[in-house]
Amino acid sequence: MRHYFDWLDSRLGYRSFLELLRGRVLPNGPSWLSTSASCLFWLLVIQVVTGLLMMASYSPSITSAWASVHFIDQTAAGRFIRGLHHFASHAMIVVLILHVTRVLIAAKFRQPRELIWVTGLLMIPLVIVWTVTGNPLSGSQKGLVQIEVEGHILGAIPLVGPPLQRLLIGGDEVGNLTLTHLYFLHVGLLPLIVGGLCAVHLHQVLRHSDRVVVVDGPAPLPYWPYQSVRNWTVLAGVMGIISWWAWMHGAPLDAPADAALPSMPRPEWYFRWIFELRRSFTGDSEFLITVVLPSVILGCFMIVPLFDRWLSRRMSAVFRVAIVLGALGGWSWLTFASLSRDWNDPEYLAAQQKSLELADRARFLADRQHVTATGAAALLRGDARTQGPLLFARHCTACHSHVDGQGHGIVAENPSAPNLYGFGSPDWIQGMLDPERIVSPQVFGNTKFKKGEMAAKVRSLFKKAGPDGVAELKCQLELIARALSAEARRPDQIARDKHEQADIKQGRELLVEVGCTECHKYHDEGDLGQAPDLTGYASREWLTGIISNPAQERFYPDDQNDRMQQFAADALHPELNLLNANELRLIVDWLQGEWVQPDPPRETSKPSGAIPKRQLAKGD
Amino acid sequence: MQRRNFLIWVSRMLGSAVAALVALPGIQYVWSTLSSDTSVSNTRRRIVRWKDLRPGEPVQFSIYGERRDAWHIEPQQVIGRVWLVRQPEGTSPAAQGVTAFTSICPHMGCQVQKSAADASFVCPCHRAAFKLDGNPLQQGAERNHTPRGLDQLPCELVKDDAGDLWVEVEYQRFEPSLTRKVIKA
Repeated sequence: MRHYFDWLDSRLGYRSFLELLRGRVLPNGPSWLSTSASCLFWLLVIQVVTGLLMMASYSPSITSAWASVHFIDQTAAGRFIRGLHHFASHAMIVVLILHVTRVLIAAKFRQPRELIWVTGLLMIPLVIVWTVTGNPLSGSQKGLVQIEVEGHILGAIPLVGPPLQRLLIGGDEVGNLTLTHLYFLHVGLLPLIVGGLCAVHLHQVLRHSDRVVVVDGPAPLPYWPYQSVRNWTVLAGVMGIISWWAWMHGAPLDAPADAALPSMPRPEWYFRWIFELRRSFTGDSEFLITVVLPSVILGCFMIVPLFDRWLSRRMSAVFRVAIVLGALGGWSWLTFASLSRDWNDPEYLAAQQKSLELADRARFLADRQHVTATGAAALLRGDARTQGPLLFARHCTACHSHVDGQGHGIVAENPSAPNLYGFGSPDWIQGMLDPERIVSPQVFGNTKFKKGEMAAKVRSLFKKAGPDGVAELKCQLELIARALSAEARRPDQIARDKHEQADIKQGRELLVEVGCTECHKYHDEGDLGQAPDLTGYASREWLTGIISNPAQERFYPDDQNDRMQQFAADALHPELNLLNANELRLIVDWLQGEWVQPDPPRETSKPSGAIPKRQLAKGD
Repeated sequence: MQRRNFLIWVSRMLGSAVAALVALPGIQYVWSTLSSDTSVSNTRRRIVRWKDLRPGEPVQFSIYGERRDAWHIEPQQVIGRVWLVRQPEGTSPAAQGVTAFTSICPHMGCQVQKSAADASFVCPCHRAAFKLDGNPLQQGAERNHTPRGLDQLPCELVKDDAGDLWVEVEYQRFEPSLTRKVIKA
C-alpha cells in the first residue's frame, strides 16, 4: 500500500504540502479562538456538498420549483440535507462575522496580510448575496416576494439600478427567468467567485504565515494535531446544532408563490438592521440606507489597515475595540428594535400565523393530491378552504358575516344580511323558525324580511300554539329543520342523515302540514314565485343558483330580492361576471364545508385494537 | 518590426479574437433580458357594473389576459389587480364617479391591501399607507415610505346595450420607487 502512495507522492509531491500544513505553527500556539477560519471553510464545503446533492432533484421554474423542493423534502434524507443546507447558510454568516471580528481584534490585517483582510471582507457581501439568491429558489411565497422587494431595492439605485434589477429578476416581472437567473448566480457564478476569493485568501494565509523564531523556551505546538483537534471540536459542535435543527424542523417551506395570497414579507434577520434604519428615509433617498450605507461601512472596514498605520499601537487597539463594540451594539439595537416592533404588532403575528397555515395546507394538499404540470400554485388556488374565506371577504362581507358562536370567523363591518355560518345545518334553519331569532341581526334582523311574511308566519305559528303547545311546536319545527337540512347534503352531515331517516321523513310530512308549502315550493308541493324553493335547500346546486342570480324565479323574483347582487348571471359573457365559474365553485364548496380534509384518526377507542385495516375500511 | 514582436502581436490578437468570440455573444445573451418584452397591446377591460360597487368601499378585481413568462404563454391568467373605489355619495357634482388604482405599491412593488382598521389602503411590506383617493396617508409620527400616491389608472363609465353602466379600466404598469409616475415601457 505504502508503495502506491510513494508513487503518487513522487508525481504530486503532496506530502510536502501536507507537511507544510501540519508543521505550521500559530504564533501564539494553538487556541480556541483560531478555530473560526477552519469552521468557515468546512461549512462552505458542506454547503457545496449538500447543494450539489439537491441539484440532482431541483428544477428551477415557476411551475416546478416549489414542487421539486417539496419532493426533495419527501425523498429519503432529503429533508435533512435541505435542512443542513438551510441552517448551515445562517451559521456561515454568524461564523463569518465572528471570524472577521477576531481578525480585527487580533490585528491580523497588518502588512503583508492586507489582501487576506480585503478578500475576507468581500466574502461578507458575497455570502449574503449567496443566501439571498438561494432563498427564493424554493418558489415559495416568502422567497419570491423577498426577491421582488430586493429587486426593487436594487432598482432604486440611480442610473445603474434599473438594468441591474432587470438582470436579477430576468425581465420586469418575477417569473421563470427570475428563478433561472437566481439559480445561475447561486450554483454557478457565486461559487466560482467565492471559490476564487477563497483560493486567494488561503494562498495568502499560507504564504504569510508567521515565521516563528524561538529565542528561548519551548517552541509553540504545531498545527497538527494541537490546533486541528480544536478546529474539529468546534466544527462538530456547530454541526451538532445545525443537524439538530435540520433533523427536528427541516428547512422551512412557505406556500407556493401566488400574488393573490395575503402575505407580509420581512427580510431575513441579517437585514433587519437596514429594514429598521430605512424607516426614517423615503422614496428617492432610501437607496442611501439600503445600498450606500452598507457599502460605505464595508469600505471603511477595508481601509482599517491604513488607519492602523497612522495610529499608535495602543490607540489602534482602542480604536478596533470601539469599532467592534459600536458595530455590535448598533446592530443588535437596530435588529432588536425591528423585531420587537413586529412581535408587538398583532397584525404581523396574525399574518405570520396565516402564512404558516397556508404552508401547512399546501404541503398537505401536495401529499394528498400531488402537484400537476400546471404547478404548485394551483394547489391552493383550487382549495375551497383557502380561497373560500378570501372570496367571502371580498364579495360577501359587505352584507354577510360568517361567524360561529364563539365569534370566530369573518365579521362584516355592517352586517345587513344573515350570518352564513353553518348555512343549511339544522341549527341554522331553526334560527329561521324561531320568532325571536328570525328577527335578530343573525338572520333577517337587518333585512326587509324582518317585517316579511316568513317572520309573521313563524310568529303566528307560536301564537296559535299557545303556551301549552309551544313545546310540541318546537319539537315539530326541530324535525322540519332536520328534514330541510338533509336537503343541503352537507358533507359533515351526510352520515348523520343516513342514521336519522325516520326523523327526516317525519319532518318532511310536518313541513307540508305546518303550512310551509303555502308559499314555498318543496318537491311536489307548493309553487315557485312567492318564496325561495326549499327543494334541495342550501345544497351545492341551490347555492350556486342563488349566488349566480338571486332574482331567478326559484329564489327572489321581481321585487322580492332585497339587495343581493347577481354574481354570475351572464352565462354568455362569463368574464363580465363578478365571480367566474371556478370562484363560484370554491365559495359554494366552502359554504358547504366541502374541502379536502385530513383522514380522521383511526378509531382507537374500540377495545379490539388489532382489527386489520381492510376490515376497518369496510366498516367506514 | 522584429520577428519576435510580431509573433507576440499575433498571439495577442488571436487570443483576443477567441475571447471576443465567446464574450460578445455572452454579453448580448445576458443583455437580452434588459430589453422589454411586455408588449401587451389592448389592456382595456370591462370590469364590473357600476351599480355593483358600493360608495366609498374599495373592491379589488383581477385583470385577466395572456401572460407571457419566458418560454410559457398562457391565456386567461391574472396579469394584474386593480382597486376600484366608487366615490362616496354626494361628494361632487360628477357624483359617483369611479377611480381605479393599480394594486402595485409605488414604493417596492408589493400588493397593496385594504386596511382592516379604517377606510384606507396599506402596503404590508413597508407600511406605505394611502387614502381612498390614492394620496399618501400620514399616520402619526410613522414615516410613510411611498414616493408618490397610488397609481391611478384611466377609468371610464360606459353604457351597454341593456342600459347598464359599466366600469372600464385601462390596465397599465408603472416604474416603482420614483416620485414621478412613469409608465413602464
